[in-house]
Amino acid sequence: MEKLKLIIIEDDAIIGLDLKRRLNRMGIGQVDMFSDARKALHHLRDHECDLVLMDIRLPGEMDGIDAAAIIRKRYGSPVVFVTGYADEETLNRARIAEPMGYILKPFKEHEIYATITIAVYKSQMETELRHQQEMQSSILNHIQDAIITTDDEINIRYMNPKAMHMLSADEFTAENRLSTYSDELSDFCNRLAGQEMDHTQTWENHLLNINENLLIVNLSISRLILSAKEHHDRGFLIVIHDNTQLKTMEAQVEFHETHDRLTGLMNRSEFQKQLELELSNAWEDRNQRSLVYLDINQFTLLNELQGHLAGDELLKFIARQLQVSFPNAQAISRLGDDEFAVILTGERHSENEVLVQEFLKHINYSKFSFQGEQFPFSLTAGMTHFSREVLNYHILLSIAIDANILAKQEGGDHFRLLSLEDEVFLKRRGEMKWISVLTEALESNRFVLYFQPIVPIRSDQGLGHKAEILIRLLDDQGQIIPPGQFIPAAERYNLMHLIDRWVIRTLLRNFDEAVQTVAVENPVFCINLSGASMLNSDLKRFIIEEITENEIDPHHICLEVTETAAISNMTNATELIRELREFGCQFALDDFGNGFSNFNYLRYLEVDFLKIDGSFVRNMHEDPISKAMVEAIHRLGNAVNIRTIAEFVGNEEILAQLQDIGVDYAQGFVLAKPGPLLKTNGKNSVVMATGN
Amino acid sequence: MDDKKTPGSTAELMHRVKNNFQLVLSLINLQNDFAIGIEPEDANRRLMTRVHSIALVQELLYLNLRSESSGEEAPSVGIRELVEHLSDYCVGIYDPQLRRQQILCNISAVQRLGSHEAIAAALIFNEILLNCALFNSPNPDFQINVESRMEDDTLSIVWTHRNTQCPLVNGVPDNQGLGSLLIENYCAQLGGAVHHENTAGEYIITLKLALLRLVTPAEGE
Repeated sequence: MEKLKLIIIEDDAIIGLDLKRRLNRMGIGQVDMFSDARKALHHLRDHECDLVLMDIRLPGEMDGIDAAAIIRKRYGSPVVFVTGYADEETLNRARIAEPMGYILKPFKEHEIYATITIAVYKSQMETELRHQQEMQSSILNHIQDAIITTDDEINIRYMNPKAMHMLSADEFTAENRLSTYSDELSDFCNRLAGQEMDHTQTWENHLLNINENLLIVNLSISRLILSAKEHHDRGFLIVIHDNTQLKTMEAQVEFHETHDRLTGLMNRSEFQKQLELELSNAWEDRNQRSLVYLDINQFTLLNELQGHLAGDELLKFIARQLQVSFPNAQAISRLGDDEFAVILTGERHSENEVLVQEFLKHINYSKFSFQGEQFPFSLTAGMTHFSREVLNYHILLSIAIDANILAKQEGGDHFRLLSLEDEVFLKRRGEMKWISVLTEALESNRFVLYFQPIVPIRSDQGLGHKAEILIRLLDDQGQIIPPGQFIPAAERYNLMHLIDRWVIRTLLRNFDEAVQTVAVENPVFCINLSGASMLNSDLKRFIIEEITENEIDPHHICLEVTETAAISNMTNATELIRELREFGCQFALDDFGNGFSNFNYLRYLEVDFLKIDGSFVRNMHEDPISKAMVEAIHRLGNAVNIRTIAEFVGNEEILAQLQDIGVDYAQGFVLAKPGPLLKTNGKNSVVMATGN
Repeated sequence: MDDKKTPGSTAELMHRVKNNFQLVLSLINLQNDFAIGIEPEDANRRLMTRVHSIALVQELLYLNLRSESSGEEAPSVGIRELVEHLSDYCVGIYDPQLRRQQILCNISAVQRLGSHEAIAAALIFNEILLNCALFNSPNPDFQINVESRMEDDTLSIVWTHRNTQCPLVNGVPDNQGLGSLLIENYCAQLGGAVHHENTAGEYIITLKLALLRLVTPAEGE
């Protein structure tokens, strides 16, 4: 009671004074007294009040009932009337002001105490209840789930704003019956009608029809007693979480991840998955499967002559033609620029061949219309049939590509069929030998590590030295084979991830010798990771284990991924980079600026260095556009706090220009040529198991 | 009063009765709080004068309502008649007695108060006269002169106590009791204030009341 703040509004000073002294005796310390309502209302503007004791007859225009109504509405303070009036008319009027009590004069002290105690308690409870209701109301108003309650007859009793929005209802037009909006929801409730109280049924990602709109929702319907007072008052609580937007976006993202944006066909990585799947399922049914690889003859010429818009339209046109002509194809893909691939199934291989040949006849005699003009074009197709001997989808695709190349060389009807056993294929593709050469090289440790220094060219930054790790192969006579000869084959036959691992393991196991060779303090070794390695889910564990096992500070290791590989495998790349950077490794984005005009993805790839694509650096002293690109990439790096490295720095003029621009590091012949890193692969030679 | 009263006016009458009883109860309750150091006989005597003041106002209201010359819709009480009647009652309360001739009233007959304001004014005047009887009755030279003055929107009623002094502390009488409390609170209720002053051989109480509280605006005063 002592903390209560009370106001007495009483026109007789002595009655007011008496009342105040009685309240003080009850322990209420703060009592303010006013003889008219206006002064009291003025006081309430700036002061809190727990209770007002109000006389009804007051001097002035406003009597106690009017004043009480204003106080309740404006300030929420509870009012108790203290008055001599006990007639029905006054009592009825007083009710409008919602008083918390009514004390009749002449008053008794115990009556005042009891009334105040009850009124304050009631007011506190009311305030608490109001706060709870406001909070619940606020939650219901802001929650992103639709909440609907109905009675047992499925008549709507309550909808929160989200529900009203979902049902396109407003408070004026809202229909009572739930079935007006959704028969399905109404049916669900009816089905639950026989269930026990508190029974809840849920549906996840359910396709729900509301007002002729199909929504993907998580739905829960509970059988409830809706009012604690009325136990017979039963009904349903319906909670709807609208997943439509999320699911649509997920579907769009998934589609974009697996499909080509221009044509809507499957992209290369998704096609490879399909090809691998088809290859593994090839012998589980009687269907004969074939792979077709097609490209547009002289597509570059069309692009150059008519512009890329025309080229894009032709690609879309061909995509549509492929979909129309091969309706039963297992997969149709745009693999790259003007490359398409189709997996066909039929009862016989010959049927598939005929189908492709018919398609070529049809399309190669048609013309492509663009902006009112017609252009001739033609496709070439290479085809191979699935066979038990071809166990690797990379090889299968290589055979189809070779078939395409042969078809071009042979001219004629732009079609060529090729098999693994085909003598011509084996002769033409010297590359095939690389499978065995590379496999053997890995097994007999015939690769050699080279390095090329990456030198800081800004003296003011205190930047450390780096070295890019390179790889060479020794032939039978011990001669060096440059990477340009064997890397494409290794990529084609899916051996790059094994070579990457050999490089990592060899460097780390001979780390001390490598540090001595590069002869700089605290060197950072930059190791190239291929796109194939990026796809390997085990790579992160392998790198961490090797670094840990060899007790090397991970800050000495910088992993280089090409921009193209990172973008193609964005999900894997982002995760790999994030986790290995957390471990302590650094990352560089190699060949940066080559092929992509939108650098938004830099937000997601948290790399430490940008290696400016050599094609810009190499010519920057002669070509202003190349120089501008180098400047732009450096500025971009600066803006996102990433250091820049220029490779292919071939002469002093380029080096000087790079220093002017402010590029952080340079790598190239003008600084140092590549040289051997270890003496005959170091003391700790590494032999990789190839699984062959 | 008209014998055929409407239910509304009867209810109003009953309300006034109840309110007056509440006032009496409040006075009793307050007196209990302030009775420390006062003989029970004296305390009762003071209480009787206060209850009498309330009753007097009701009596005057009744007389004025019955008067054919009244013509007022709502009954009222003249300030002068209130002072005169209270002075009459006050004389003889204490022994030795304050003589009636020692109280001179020079107040205009025009200034009138409504019932509610009249009770407040009666209780103020009663306290001043009661103090005169209590503290100045053995003094044959004592005289009190009551006069009224109009100043802008204020009516000043000046009580000049001749040949006496009242000890004041910070402008208010020393030894404050229920009487002082009644005077101050009721003056405030009437929209005014009370001022105490000792001059050469005189003790002056000035009651300033808001003209708004008067029933009849005192024109030409």
